[in-house]
Amino acid sequence: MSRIEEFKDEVDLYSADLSRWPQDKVKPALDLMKANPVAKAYFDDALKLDEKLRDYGAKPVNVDALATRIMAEMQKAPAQTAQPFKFNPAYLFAPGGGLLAAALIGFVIGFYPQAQTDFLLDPVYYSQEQGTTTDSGMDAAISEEDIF
Amino acid sequence: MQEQAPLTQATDEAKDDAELMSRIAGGDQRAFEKLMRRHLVRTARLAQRILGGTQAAEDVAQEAFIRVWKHAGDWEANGAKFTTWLYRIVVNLCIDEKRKRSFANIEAIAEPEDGKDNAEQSMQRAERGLEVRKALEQLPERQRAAFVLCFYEEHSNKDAADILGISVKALESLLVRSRRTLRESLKEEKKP
Repeated sequence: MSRIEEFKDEVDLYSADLSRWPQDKVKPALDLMKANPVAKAYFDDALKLDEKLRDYGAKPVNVDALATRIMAEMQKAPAQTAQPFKFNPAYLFAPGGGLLAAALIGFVIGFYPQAQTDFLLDPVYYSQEQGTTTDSGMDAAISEEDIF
Repeated sequence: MQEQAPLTQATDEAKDDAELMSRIAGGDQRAFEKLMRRHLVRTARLAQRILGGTQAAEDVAQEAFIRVWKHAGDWEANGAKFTTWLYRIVVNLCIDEKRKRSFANIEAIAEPEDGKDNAEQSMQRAERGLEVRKALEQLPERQRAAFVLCFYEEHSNKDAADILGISVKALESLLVRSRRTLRESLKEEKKP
């Protein structure tokens, strides 16, 4: 992008009011306008445009009347005020509460492992551990030579 | 040091706004009235420049503050300014309003600021104001909002980008395009 194109972009971005320009861009812009009549003409057009745009002003607002109207409307509208936290047992059923309850149950179960595992053990596996079954399965077919 | 004064004042006002908002969240009506009166003129003026009509702008300002009252409990400062939140509500309400209705009336024309204009000057000024308003009307909604926030309301590019919920780069693109469109529109207005 040429310097003049860059300058036009800056004018369109910040307007012709140099007080709105970043400070480091003001002097290079002024220097360019001195040296380049195209830049100067573009800036002069921007000044005229700004002046014209400022002719579109806002009408004064009747602050008191509008404020009274808003206060009256506000009285009808309930505010959604911030409430201090209060415990409700129903929160236990919320997802977070559910997770907490599951963790507590897990803790209790883990605390009494024997009571839970006695009847969960596979009787066949249990009897192998005790050496009460015959070695007729796969274990018997594998000798130590196969392993080493 | 002179440049620090407005910055400090703005920071103090932002802190005070946050304090008032926490009181409003507790249902404090006096705090609401204080905050509302502090920002009412700028809020109504912003709406007026985007919408082009006084009555519609006042309706938008009213609705914006009622939303502030209703949702104060949801607002959390987290480093963001109250005005950014407020003006975002206003811009969104204006965009909704513009979609519902067109620029129908011609009431929002510049008033003579110093009372020195004679009748002819006032007429010329009013005509130019009307041309500008028509040119603004032709801009797409986001471009118009960006232009009004930066040119008329003199927000920094960063603040305007925050209000519109876009990046500064995107805002700058909107500003350049809006100004070029306005220049072309207002040139055309001069042709017979």
